[in-house]
Amino acid sequence: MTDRKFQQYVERLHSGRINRRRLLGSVAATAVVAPALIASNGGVGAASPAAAPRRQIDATTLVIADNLRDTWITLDPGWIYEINSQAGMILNYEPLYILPDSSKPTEFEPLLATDMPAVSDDGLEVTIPLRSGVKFHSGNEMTADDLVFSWTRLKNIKFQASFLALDYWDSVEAVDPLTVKITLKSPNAAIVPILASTPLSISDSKLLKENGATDAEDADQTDTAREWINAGNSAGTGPFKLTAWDIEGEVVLEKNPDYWGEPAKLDRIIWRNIVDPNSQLQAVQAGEADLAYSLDPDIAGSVTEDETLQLITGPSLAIEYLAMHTQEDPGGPIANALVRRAIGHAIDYDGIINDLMKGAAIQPATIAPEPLLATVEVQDQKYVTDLDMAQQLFEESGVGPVELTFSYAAGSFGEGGLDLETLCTKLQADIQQIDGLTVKLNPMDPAVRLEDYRAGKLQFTVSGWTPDYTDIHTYAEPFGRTDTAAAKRVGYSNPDVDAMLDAGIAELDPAARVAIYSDILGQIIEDSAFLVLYQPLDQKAARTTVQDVATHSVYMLFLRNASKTE
Amino acid sequence: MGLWAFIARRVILALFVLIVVSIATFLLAHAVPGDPITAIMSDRQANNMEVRAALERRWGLDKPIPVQYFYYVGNLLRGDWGESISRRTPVAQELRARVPATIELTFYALAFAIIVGVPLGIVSALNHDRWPDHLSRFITLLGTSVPVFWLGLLLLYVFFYRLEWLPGPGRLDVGMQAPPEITGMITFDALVTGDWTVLFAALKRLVLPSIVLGSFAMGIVARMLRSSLLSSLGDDYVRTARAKGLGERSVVIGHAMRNALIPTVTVLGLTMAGLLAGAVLTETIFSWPGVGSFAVSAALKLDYPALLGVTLIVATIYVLVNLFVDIVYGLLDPRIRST
Repeated sequence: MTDRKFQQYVERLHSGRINRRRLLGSVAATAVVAPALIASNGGVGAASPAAAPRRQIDATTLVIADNLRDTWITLDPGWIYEINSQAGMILNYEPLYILPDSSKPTEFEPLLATDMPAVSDDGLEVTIPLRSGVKFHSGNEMTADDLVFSWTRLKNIKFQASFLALDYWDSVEAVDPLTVKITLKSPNAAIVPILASTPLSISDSKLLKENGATDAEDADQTDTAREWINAGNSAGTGPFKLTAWDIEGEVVLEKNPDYWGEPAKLDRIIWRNIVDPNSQLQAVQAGEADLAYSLDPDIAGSVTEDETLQLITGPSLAIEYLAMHTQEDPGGPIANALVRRAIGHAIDYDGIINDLMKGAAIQPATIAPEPLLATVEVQDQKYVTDLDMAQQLFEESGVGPVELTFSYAAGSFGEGGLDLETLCTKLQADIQQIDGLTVKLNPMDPAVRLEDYRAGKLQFTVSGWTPDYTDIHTYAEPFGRTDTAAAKRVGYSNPDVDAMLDAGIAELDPAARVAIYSDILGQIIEDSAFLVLYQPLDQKAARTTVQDVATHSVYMLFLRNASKTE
Repeated sequence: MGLWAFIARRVILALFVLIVVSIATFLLAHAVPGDPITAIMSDRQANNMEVRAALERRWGLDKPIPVQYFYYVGNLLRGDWGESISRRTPVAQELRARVPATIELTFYALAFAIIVGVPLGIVSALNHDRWPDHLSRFITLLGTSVPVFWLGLLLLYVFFYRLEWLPGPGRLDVGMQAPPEITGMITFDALVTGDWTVLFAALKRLVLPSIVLGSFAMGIVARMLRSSLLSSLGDDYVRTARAKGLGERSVVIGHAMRNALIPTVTVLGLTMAGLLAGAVLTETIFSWPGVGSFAVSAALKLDYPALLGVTLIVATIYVLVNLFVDIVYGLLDPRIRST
């Protein structure tokens, strides 16, 4: 049916000259005939397959293919805790400080602050000057009251990121419209990395209140602003603003023409929901997207072979690790540190990195990924594959022939997209090279495994960890401190480590911190409750027309300077 | 029993089925080991009892299971389907957006199944045990046995990536706005509003997922029609029609087909309900925002409100299809009404 006939048809429909049966018949006919015609002709308006690129996206728009459906939930600073959406969040909302290059994890820069914090002599009061003349997307001017509202709201919503506003300070107050003072619970050397987290961004309190936000104690039950934000609205100050939100279709960020800083080079960035990593790459290769967010190690090789594509690579701060219970119940033989060390020497780390991860990973010494503070200093203490040493340690342990139960999340992927079935099968084979040690694989429902692991019920499991902020303490504490997060799950407790953690977070001198955290990491390596298998590299596939895009270990993609060539 | 009494009885039974389904789903979801709050809590916050308590309060999980069920039903009757735990959005809003997408995909998949399956079945039956029959049976065998995920990825690779004849995953082209929502089915809405650009873009994006989803139904339709037609072609009334000197076309289309289509249509009805509920893999491969992908995500994260919402919708579809079939049978054959 031609366009003209369609038009006539619709006119007749509107004028009531077509009844419902005829309309349904027509729709059915369209449904039946059109796909076949399109498939045979290449579609209306489709260019010849020889034209390259067939699907041209203009140079002012960047299209990113990402699994939005499973990884994006909101861009509300009070509720966000997802990883992938950080890339959009840091464009839309801004915190006080920013880390432009995550390969230099100590080089933070003021963003909505004008200077680094001034800390009182006792380390408990932190005063921060705010940038003047900053306007929200609504046109409202940013003040210290907006900051106080945003952080109080985050605290009272009591969701995932609320610890950022609950755990570290007693109070936040506006000294004047452009100065805030934070009273810390205890001196905190990681305060700048914490303040660079996107949930601590400053949002437009006036606009948010008008749309259901509250910072009251019962905000967890009464705040409804997330629905307003998820309708495609923005209350931020960033160089882009959210204009459309459909995680099953597209999320669109448009350039903020009134941005206080250097304006963005792109007019818009579109995140397009494509769930499957292979399909994401195909979309980039076919010119339907500029960048594929998810890139499995297995398909990364095809990117380097395609001259229209580039591989954007950078370090991540994720780790995949083995957790071994240190108490007799449920650890059994693995509660013996010599058995754990034997396992540490039996694992073929190079095989995991080069064969399974196709070289897109490194082996950090322990639970702190490189290049965080003190990780270089403990490099020579990391486990290396040495089967003789493994056998010797196992025999020294005196536990005799034993079987370990190795639990993992069935059908899941580890950090960097590695299939856990493949990884665990390899680990089983590696460990069983120790005479007298057998490993029974125990695939579990992911939710049940997580619950059992967190309850400290698993003898031996594999898990992943990603950072909350860019400081060594966000790894050293959960893995090292008694009764905290990962340490609690394996019953790990070392009073020396606890004391050093107290000293490390309070120490403001960087050199002294290196010494303290080197000792902490060295002790964690020796105690061997955790063995880190690998630290993946972040890899993204992009068309060569994409410029100035970098991977980022916290914001995932750094797009503030992004541009495209024709 | 009169017709209206028969229909009333069937409707009451259908409501009873839905109540039983809701109770069973509620109990089963809570009986499964695992905890939805644990599933959404980060490692960092996992031991924070204040945050856990706030989340349990938010989703009513701090109350006993029977109380939770009655709250749920009470809210349901007021039109509140609850809030998804994993997505933190109203379940009703999610379903409102997804059901039309799944219905649209199912409609085109069914259209593909009929367009290809019916001719294949006819050709097969009319050329019994000759090469067109063997070829047709081979195609239908492929349709029913090729795994959906494999076919989906293969078609994407060939027609989207290699040949560039058809677009990739998604319902619309990059940056394209959907027409004003009337039904949520983009092709229908675009047709009614006269937005031809969107209509053709949406149709192009429906071709591959429709083929993938419809291939199984196509195989079933063709095989059922072949079998029924072969049986009809050997019946006395067909022989009589031929003896009267009717042309072969008239005999096949006018006489044999009419009877052969009855079992095919019955199977097609049930297949349609299955397609509506079972488009999970197709929706995942083609990033299609339908009910199937929502169901998988909800099940993996033990998202009780979302799971219940999806189950009730799917159960309602099955119940309505069965109710419709029952009523039609009752209309066609009064003897059924008395049983």
